[in-house]
Formats: sequence, C-alpha cells, structure tokens
Amino acid sequence: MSEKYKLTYFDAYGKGEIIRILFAAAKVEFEDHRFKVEEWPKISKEMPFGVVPVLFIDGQPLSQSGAIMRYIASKYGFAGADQKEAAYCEMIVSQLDDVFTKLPWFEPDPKIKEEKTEAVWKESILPSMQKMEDYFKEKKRDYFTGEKLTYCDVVMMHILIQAQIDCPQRIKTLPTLCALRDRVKEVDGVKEYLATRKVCPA
Amino acid sequence: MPHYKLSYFDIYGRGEMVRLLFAAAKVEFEDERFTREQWKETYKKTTPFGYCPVLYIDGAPLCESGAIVRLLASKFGFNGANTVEEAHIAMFNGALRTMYVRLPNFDVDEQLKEEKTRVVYKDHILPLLEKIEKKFSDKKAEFLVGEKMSYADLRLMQYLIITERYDASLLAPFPNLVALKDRCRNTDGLKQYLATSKICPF
Repeated sequence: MSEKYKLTYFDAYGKGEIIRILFAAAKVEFEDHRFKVEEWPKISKEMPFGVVPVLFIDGQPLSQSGAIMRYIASKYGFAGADQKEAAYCEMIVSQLDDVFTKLPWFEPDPKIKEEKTEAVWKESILPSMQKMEDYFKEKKRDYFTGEKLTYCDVVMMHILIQAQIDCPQRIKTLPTLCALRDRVKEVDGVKEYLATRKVCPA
Repeated sequence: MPHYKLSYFDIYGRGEMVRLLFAAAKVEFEDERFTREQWKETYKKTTPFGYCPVLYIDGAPLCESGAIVRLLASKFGFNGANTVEEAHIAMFNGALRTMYVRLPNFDVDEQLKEEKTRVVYKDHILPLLEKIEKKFSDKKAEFLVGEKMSYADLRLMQYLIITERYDASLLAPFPNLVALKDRCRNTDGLKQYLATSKICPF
C-alpha cells in the first residue's frame, strides 16, 4: 500500500517549496497543509522539534528539509544512480543552501536589504554558482550530476526562477545553468505544478 | 578500497564526524589538518567552492560535510536499513546540529561567552535533549534509529561528550542518552580513536 503524505509549512516558498515541486515531479499526491504566521506558535508546539517543514508519512513526522528532500528523491528516483552521485547531489544542494542562507531574508529596511543582497550575490552566491556553471558547461549533458533528473536540478531550477524574477542581470553569466532551469521547467509534472501553484514572494 | 584524505582545520567543527565515521568503520584515512593561516594562503583556493572540509576519494574532491558524512555512513553501514531510517537519522543529526552550532565558540570575551553558552543550553540544547530523551526512552532500543548504530548516534555521542566536558551536571535529566553516548564510545574502533585523538574545545 502506498504511503500517505502531509507537508506542514508556512504559506510561502522558503524551505517547503522544493518539497512541493519534488512531489509534482514524482506525480505523487500529498496534502499541502499551509498555515498562517499567526498560527505558528501553536503549530510549533505540535512539531517534533518545534521547526518546519515537517512531512507526515502515514502520520509519522519527519522534520529537517534536507532529510525530507532526500527521502522523497530516493523513493521516487530523483537521487542519482548510485551513492556517489547522491553525494554529489547533496554537495551541490548544500553548497547552494549555505550561500543562499546568507541573504538578508528578514531585513525590514528595503534599502539595507537591497545593499546586503547585492553584496551576498557578489561575494558568496556568484563565486559558487560560476564554478557550477563552468563545471556543468564542460559536462555537456542534460542534467547536473548524471544522466537523469535529480533533486539537484530541481533546486537549481527553483533558485534560478526566483533570480530571474528578482534581478535577471545577476544571472547573465550562468547561461548553461539557465538552460538547465528551462529544461527542468518543461518536465512532466513540474510544468503543470508551476502553471497552477500559488506564487509567493519567497 | 579507495584512498581517502580528509582536509580540514585542526578542530572538531564540521570535520570530526567524518573522522569518527572512519574510526567506527575501522577504515584508514589521511587526516590532513591545517591552521587558519595555511588555509588562507594555500588550501582555500584548491577546494571546489572555497570551503572545507573536503574529502578526497582517490584524489577526487567532495565537499559539504553533510554529503561527506552521508556517503561514508552509507558505504560503511551507519546509515540505517532503508530510506525511512536514513531520513530519521538525518532528522536527528540536523536537529542536534541546529542547536549545538549556536554555541559561541569564537567569542573572545570569556565572561560574555560563558553567559551566552548558558543561554544556548537553557533555551535550545536542553529542551531538544529533553524531547530526544523522551522519544528514545519510549522506543526502548539500543540506538536512536533502527537496530544498529548510525551516524545520528555518533553525532549525539560527539555533542554529549562536549557537554560533559563543559558541565556534566547538565546531562543528569537524560540518563538514556548518557547510556547511549557511553555505549557508542565503547564500541570497537571508536574506543581506540577517542583514547588517542586530540581533544579540541569545539
């Protein structure tokens, strides 16, 4: 019997959207439980470690977005062909997570936020992504870590969709990664999800 | 067996888990440790993204400590019996890391550092350990996830040893986790490593 899934997260992209996109790519149904910010203190107490996202698998909670992402990817064939490829997927995704976490997500002053955002892109994000661009360009293949779509490609797509909306100038030196983004956008399941999902600022 | 070289600072930081896995698996590896000056001058530019630790497997670099830990854990049998267990192991590992990385390891002012440390234990670490103690004592098993020792148990052991050295009385409410810590540190491989490895503040 197949598993029943419920994802509990804010009504935002944050660390939850990638999981929603992965379910779409896998064409697996799940209950998309989105709560409002005001509900957070109550919800937090119900979660195993007080954090979200949490994926309930047949009612059993699993937290930590990386663990959830890798679990769904492994189960539904998006985690690479072997352990080595899985490790490289995780390396890229974690590296992106490390540099994107530095962005001033919660800065209230828009001017300061913009300045800090520019600085993080210039000093942290672009140096890492340029190396990824150069590596991927050399490989001359459809997907980043191997011959098939993995969750690494899905993360790359999500990041670059947002970057295209926020400031396309920033990613003009990453054409091969942008081509990958556009390829993943067309993947069956992902395409339909992107066309109908709620659009969030972040 | 491939040739392994771990390249990291001469501290625990994000490298010690990797060293512990090699010890638990009784697999030899080259433990390259450098100073901050050596990092800036020589090593940083040789890494894939300018960060460490890096694991060289027959000379090919893999970075991001999570990717390295999970690859070795999978190869050496410390990553659970199936993907659900893998996910729960990652969950415990992530939850522990999230709280312990808040410790003010780099603070220079001793008094401020002590105050901050007390607050981090009180507000973050001890509440988490309480939740894990409850789950673990309900489970009535030898290890956090599944039937065998996993890297989640190693992570818990590593952190509880650090807490024990700081103030052992903090662990008094968690007898089952303390028993687990001691069970792990006495396993073959780890016992010898812990008896001879360099003791670092973090």
